[in-house]
Amino acid sequence: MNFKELDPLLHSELRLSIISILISVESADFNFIKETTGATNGNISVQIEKLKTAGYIDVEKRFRGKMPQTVCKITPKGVTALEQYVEALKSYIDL
Amino acid sequence: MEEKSLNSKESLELIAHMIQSTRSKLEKGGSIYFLIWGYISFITTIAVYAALTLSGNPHYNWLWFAIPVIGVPTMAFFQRRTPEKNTTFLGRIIGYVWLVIGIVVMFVPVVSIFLDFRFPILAVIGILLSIGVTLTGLIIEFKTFWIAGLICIALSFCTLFVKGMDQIIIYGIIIIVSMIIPGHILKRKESRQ
Repeated sequence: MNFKELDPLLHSELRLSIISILISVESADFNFIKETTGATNGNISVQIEKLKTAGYIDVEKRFRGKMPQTVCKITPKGVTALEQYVEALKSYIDL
Repeated sequence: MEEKSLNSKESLELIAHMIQSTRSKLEKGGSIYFLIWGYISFITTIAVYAALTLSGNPHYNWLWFAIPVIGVPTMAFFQRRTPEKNTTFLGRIIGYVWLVIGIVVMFVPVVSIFLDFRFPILAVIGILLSIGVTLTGLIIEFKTFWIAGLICIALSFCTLFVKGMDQIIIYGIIIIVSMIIPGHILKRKESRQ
């Protein structure tokens, strides 16, 4: 059996959750990610920064009315990374 | 949620769970727009009906313009107050559908002022709104909406066969069936999620 290497950046619960949320939408607000994952602000911020540095997501900070808003969007590189990650997982569980 | 490594099965389950969880939250918040426009339109319809019945003065038809005059700022207020949590392709499509319908609906009465024949404004607006409701129902796969929309398309055609104040009564029914009732059903569904 030939096992494919798992992307270490995605092989973490919170980062994988964030990428999975972003693959389902065009863009998602920080609070929506927080609500859906149930993680803390600090933890999400750290993981978002790592995903952004890897080029997997784009992060835009803007204002909606007077409220600051952080909006995340998956990049084509992020989509490819998740697809490859799922392919690699399949090789481990023999799908 | 702590940062931890996962085994293969857990990873796949997590991806599936997050996608499912995101989808179930996507359309939350849409009911408020149906309720805002529904109630403003319905109250205006009652006001126009009452004014025309009591006075007989056709100038009271100008009251119809209260719908965009009150509706547009109210919508803007609620949109500013409610943070946009996510954008989806479907959400964007629904937005475009209502943008086009909204613009055409506002133009219909304005253009009809310059026509020298009696234009069936309420029937045309009723058909346009009902098409919007039907399309929204089909896009978000919400049965109540598209059934209500189709009923109201039929009702809108009925307004072509009645005259005067009866047209306003049917239009009021169209607003209740196409916007207020589905809006409340969607709101109840949202609060259950």
